[in-house]
Amino acid sequence: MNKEELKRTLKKLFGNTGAIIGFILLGFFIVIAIIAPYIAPPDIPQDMDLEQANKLIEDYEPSNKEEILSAFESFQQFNLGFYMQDYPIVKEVYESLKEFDKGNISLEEAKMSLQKLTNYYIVDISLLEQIETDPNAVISDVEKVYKKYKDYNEKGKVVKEELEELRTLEGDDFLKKAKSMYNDFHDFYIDSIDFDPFIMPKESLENAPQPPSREYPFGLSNGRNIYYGVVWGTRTAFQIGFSVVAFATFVGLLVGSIAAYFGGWVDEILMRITDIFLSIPFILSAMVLTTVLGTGIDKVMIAMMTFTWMSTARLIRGNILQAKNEQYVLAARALGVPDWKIIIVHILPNTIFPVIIQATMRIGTMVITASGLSFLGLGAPQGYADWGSILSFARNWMLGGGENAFQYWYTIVFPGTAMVLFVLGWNLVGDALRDIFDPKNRM
Amino acid sequence: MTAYIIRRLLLLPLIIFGVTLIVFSMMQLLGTDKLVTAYIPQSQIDRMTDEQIESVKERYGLNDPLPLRYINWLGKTLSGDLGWSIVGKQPTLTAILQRVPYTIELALYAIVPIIFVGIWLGIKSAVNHNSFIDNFIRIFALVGYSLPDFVFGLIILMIFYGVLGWFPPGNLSLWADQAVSSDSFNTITHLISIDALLNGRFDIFWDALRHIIAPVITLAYLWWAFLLRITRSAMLEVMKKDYIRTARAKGLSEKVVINKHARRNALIPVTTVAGSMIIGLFIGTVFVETIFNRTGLGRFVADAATQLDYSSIMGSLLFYSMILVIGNLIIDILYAVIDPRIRLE
Repeated sequence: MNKEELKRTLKKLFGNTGAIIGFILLGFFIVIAIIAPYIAPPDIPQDMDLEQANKLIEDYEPSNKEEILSAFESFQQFNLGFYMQDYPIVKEVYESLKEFDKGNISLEEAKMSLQKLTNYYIVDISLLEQIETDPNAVISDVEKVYKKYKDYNEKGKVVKEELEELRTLEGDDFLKKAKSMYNDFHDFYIDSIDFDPFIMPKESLENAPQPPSREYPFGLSNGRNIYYGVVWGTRTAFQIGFSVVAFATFVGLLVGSIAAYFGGWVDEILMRITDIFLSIPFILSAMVLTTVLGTGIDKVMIAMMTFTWMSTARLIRGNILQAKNEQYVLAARALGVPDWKIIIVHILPNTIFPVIIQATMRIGTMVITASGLSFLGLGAPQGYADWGSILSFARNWMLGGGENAFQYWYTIVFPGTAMVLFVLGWNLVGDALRDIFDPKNRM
Repeated sequence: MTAYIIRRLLLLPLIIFGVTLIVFSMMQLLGTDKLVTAYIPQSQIDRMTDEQIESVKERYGLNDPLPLRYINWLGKTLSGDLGWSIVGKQPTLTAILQRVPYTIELALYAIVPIIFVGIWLGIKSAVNHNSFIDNFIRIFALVGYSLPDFVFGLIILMIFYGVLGWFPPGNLSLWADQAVSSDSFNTITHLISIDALLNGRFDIFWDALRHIIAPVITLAYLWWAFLLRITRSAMLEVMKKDYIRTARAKGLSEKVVINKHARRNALIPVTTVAGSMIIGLFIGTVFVETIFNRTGLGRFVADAATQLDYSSIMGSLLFYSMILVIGNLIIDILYAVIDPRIRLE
């Protein structure tokens, strides 16, 4: 595409009302996705000692020094100290289990040693039975525990030294060091508790929806904050849409080009495989594979990726076959350009637009499908910030609500609107691109 | 043409073989421990010892090498044994066949408004190209395109059941359900509304209708969006043709030009999507049936998936795939008979 053509294309694109609305919608969602942590801050659990220290640091006075130090010390004691205490035992048991693995000590001795860990509730008591049947699994379990203890032990030593150092500092130096230590501790704490911001916080134990209020602008559904779910749901939607479509397009391009390039038997086999995959209805295949793989948003994506590459493969194959007889390809071939170079340099750039348009239009479909699966209760874990999950809460209240169902309108309207606008944005942009790149409209 | 049909028919077993292979592979992803639940209920497994579970695996051949298991599974599947359905509490095949009429009934009621209104809207939009009506219909279609059926279904449920109380969810009211399952009611076609008419029970017919309208509206809107787009662009294409200009030049009235000359030609591309639309309608009932609490194949799959009823979901997946494969084959052959141009492709 030359400069002149690009200019014309852009002019057409921005002269198209639909495209502009589409871009505005998508821009809006991108902004929401980026600023999600600021407009809907996740409710990160706080460590009491740490927050105490933070407060003291903020209104620092020289007389507070001891208090800050003691808050840090107690944080160190609770989060690292216990690990440091137990580390020698863990190390001893791990080493004796390794000896057992080599055959140097008997099963009874190994069990005795392992019992030390179960007595301290460091590992589960079932391991004592498991060691008889499957010693390797037990050893690898204990190894994991050992590694964790080792890391924490080392971290604990470092922290202790830092605390000693902190004790010697005064004034501004002390404040600076204390602040940076607080940040370190905070990161460490968040890491150690395994916090996932994509899980909608449970604000109330009551399941019945609660109408929008100042505190919860979109209301509560099953005790979950709808506003939080809708905002973080944009991130989920982009994540699913982009990764599934990117993967499907890539695989489709590969399969389609190989089929068209090699032709003959390779083409026949690849296209029959494509036919077979197309013979399973998409929504059902995605549903079943998600069920089989289990819970998790990544499982949903894998399931959808497996069954979406086919139409791109067909499209690109058809386009390449058509382009094979074009003048410019024949000319390139006559000049002795190798086939693979013809495909990559000459054919693909001229046939890629339909693929891009198709990909754009499919992002919306993929988000709908993923949300549909979580609406049925498949894929996304309980309370995951996904528009479909929020809607699935609403269903019970609509069916069970009877005449009062309308009072729960907010459980549908907010997540529903978000989803429709998101999909609409992609469809508008896709439509506009199709109009522009449609060969019939091209000058 | 005969060659085309023969080629398609020869490919059929290959495709079916491939589909069974995919379904079987998905089952293997579960691992043998979970596969046991396809034969024995989970509650029983919890009470079994390891040796007993092992013997169950042995009995159902779960420890055999993969190719052998595939052949055994294929043999059983071809003879109609799809395993025991936990959701249906009956053999899977029986459970599926029992639910098919409900889904067919829903699709049948939906297809009539979809086709008539969809085509009417498309033509209306094309004839008034770029006018207010056209823009309105296009926005209507665009929203329909972007609206997931489970969102629209919930809204319909909220309005027509919650606020107005006109169309309740479910298949039938309680009294009608009891009347249908009683002995005096003859089941002939398994489609409740038609059976009610054949039995002369207009009250039951009316009740069945009341329950089916809301899901039909939900399905219809989404397919209108699809159909009216195709009709509109086909009609716009036709309106540019020379023979339309000729017809106008002859002094024919606009009504005759549109109804006699343009519309007939514009409907050709529409007929080519009609077949796949019917299949799509039959397959795409999972959400509608779930939301409106209707008995049917779609809800059966959804329930089976949430309850981890593996033999039911695999059986249904195979069943749906067969519908798609055979349906597409019939459509393609029919079109090849109707339109000779297709055969060349």
